[in-house]
Amino acid sequence: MSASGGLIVHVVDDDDGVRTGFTRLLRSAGLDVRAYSTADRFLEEVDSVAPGCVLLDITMPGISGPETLQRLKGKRNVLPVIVVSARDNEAIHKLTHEVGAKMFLRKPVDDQALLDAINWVTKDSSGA
Amino acid sequence: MAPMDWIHAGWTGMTVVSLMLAFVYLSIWIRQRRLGVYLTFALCSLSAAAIAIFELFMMRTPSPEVWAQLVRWLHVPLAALLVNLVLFVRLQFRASRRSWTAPLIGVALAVLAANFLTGVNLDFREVASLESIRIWNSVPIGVPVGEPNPWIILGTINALLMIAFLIDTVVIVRQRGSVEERQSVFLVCVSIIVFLVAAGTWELIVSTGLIVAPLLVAPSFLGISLVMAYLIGSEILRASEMATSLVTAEARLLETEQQMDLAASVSGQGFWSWDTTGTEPWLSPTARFLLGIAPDEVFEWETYLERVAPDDRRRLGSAINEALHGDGNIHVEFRIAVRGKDVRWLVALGKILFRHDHAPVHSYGVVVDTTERKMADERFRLLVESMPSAVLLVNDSGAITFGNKQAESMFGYAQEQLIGMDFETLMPQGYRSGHADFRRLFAGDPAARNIGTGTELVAERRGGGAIMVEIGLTPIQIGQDHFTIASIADIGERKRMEREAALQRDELAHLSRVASLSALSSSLAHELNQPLTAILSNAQAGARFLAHQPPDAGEVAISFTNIVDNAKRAGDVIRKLRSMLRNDRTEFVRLPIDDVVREVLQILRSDLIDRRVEVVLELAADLPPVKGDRVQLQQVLLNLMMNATDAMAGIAHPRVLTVCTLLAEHGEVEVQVADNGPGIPEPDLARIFAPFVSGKKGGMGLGLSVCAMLVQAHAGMLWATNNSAGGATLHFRLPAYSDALSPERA
Repeated sequence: MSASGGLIVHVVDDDDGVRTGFTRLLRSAGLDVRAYSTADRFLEEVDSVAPGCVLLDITMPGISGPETLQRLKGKRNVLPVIVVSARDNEAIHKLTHEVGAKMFLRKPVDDQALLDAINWVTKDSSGA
Repeated sequence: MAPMDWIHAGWTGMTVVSLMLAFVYLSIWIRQRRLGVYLTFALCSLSAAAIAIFELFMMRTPSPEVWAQLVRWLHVPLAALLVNLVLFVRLQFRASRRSWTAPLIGVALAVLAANFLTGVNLDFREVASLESIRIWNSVPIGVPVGEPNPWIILGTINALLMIAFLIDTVVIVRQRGSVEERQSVFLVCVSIIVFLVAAGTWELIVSTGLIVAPLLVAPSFLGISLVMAYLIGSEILRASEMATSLVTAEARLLETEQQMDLAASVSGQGFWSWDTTGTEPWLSPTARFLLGIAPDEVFEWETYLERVAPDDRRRLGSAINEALHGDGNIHVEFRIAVRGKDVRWLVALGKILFRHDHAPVHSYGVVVDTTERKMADERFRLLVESMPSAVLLVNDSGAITFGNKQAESMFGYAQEQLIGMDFETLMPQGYRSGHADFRRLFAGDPAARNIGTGTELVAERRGGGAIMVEIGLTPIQIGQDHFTIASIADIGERKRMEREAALQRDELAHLSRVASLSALSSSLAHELNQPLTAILSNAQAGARFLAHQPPDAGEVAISFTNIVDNAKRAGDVIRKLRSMLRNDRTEFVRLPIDDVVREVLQILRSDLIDRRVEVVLELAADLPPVKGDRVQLQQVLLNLMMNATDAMAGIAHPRVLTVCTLLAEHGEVEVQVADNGPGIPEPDLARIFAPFVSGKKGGMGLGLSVCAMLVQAHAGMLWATNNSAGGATLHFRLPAYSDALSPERA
């Protein structure tokens, strides 16, 4: 059980600075955070039972492999995915769609926007 | 008709003989006035002829008065005869003392005076009568009878004086003269003495009446005539012999001359010989030919001088002058205009012989045609003068012996000044001492070589201005001496152009970099975005931690630290970007190639991700560093990797970019950038490095040509191959770092 109503945010970003930054930001907002440096790690280590969401940097090496995308998509059914990226173009949008993400946020991300986004995507799952 | 009696015949004969002799001697004297001796004897003979005529009349006249007068006038030709005899002997033999002349002439004149002033003539005071006698059945001859004149003694004294003089002459000549001379003086003087003795004694006898006989002088003279005739014969004989030997000698001389001239003409040499007492020099036919003087033309100095080139006349004159006042050696070169042809170069070599008082007596020498050699020299000189580089001829002690016009204008010293100058004077101060060693080294191993190529070799003009040069050295040998020809080219202009070209290359590389980086702008922006995101998140986290109750200072501190780190990260990206965008001068440093590879991959990271390119790195361990400009090598790798990525744009299968570094042969470092795209068509493998060749639609096609230019500037090689498994690989090789001045290929 988490302090913030049981939500776990999974931060998946290969950039150390960004990952640390998000992690600390979310913790400062009282959320429970798990951080993963690669998509594969996330897929292997994630505990899919607990409710939460995924903060996924789509501009990571290896993310665009179709297998990974399938598996992530599968995960989405349990955990909603928010895609973040510094890039904002058609290719990115396509990937975002393929992974079945609910939302797309552009880096640098404003803290309130991020928290609101998390609230929004998890309200369905946390609620009844 | 009655036959002539012997008296008439004899005296007529004697007259004729004397006249003949006189005629012979006179005709010789007329032709050769110098020989006064002939005149004297001619006068003797004439006198003798006169005497003979007088005597004939004396013998035949019946009248004593006529006889006395005849004798009286007889003494005139007699005196003439005696004086001329004396003169003749003196001139012929040149052996008497001067002291004889005056007394002899004096006494002769005294005799003549006595003859006319005392008595009826010298012999008789008076002639009483003439007796008539016959000698050997001759006609009647008049014989005087009268009183003797005591003054006849003067005649005797005269005769005796003459005899003494003659004896003295004989003695002197016998002491000094040749056999011939001694013989002739003996003959002449003895015959005269005999004549004097005989005639004088007979005169005395007849005048004193000891014997009643005619007064006769002429017969005694006969002896002299005979002697003279004999001597003339000898002389004619001798003259003929001399003439023969002279002709032989001349013939031999001519032959020798001809041989010499033949030999001389073969070698183009003419001989000349000038006896200064003569007016005209002797010139061999070849000499005449060379000097343009016709075989029979008389040589005249002024006319000849006119044909000598004006500039050379003074030189010719002063050379001769110097020889005249100095050691007599003539050596002068001059030009002469020859009829109908152009100018000919001649060298005159000769010698002047002097008397003890240094007056010139004789000169002789050789004149040689050196036109061929001069023309060759001239051609050589023109060739050297026309060369665009400066040419200097340096001897083995480092002194300049010749410089052409270009050298004059390049270094600012006149050609005359260059001669004798040390070669080192043309180098900047600092290099001078080192150069002497270099010269010694060069002399030890003389071989044609270029120095200064690829290096900054500086020469110094007069006044200190610097010239950048390249020098070609060629060792040569002239006779026994060793020289070096230095051909010096001013490469300042070339260096300037090289520098300009280098600047333009840098400019081009820069623009290419800018173009590449513009293409990468989005990925670069992405690179910046990451640290910015981190900064933002950390800052906002920090704010939130601060708003906690109580504020979590520890977390805030950590947030600040993270902000600082990420700001630095951002700074690094910007710095890298700026260094790529700057147009710095090329700077070759010691560079590990792996660092460059990693830096470029960092720049390209987001782009590669964006395009879903997987990167495989195979970096060899322990590679030697290369010598390169960091930014330029980054640019090369950037270009190659972007090209590889572009090549894979259209493929369906997973894109893999493989970057390898490895050690190649000769210790060089090779970098390979491989893609698994469609590969490069075979004919294009070399073409792709040419400018304006692009596989991309709308591409400028400069990227690979710029890469090629940069790799070349690093003394490296760039080439492309196709992979067996599909796709292409671009390779470049660089030499390992060494301390040479600039990258040089082994």
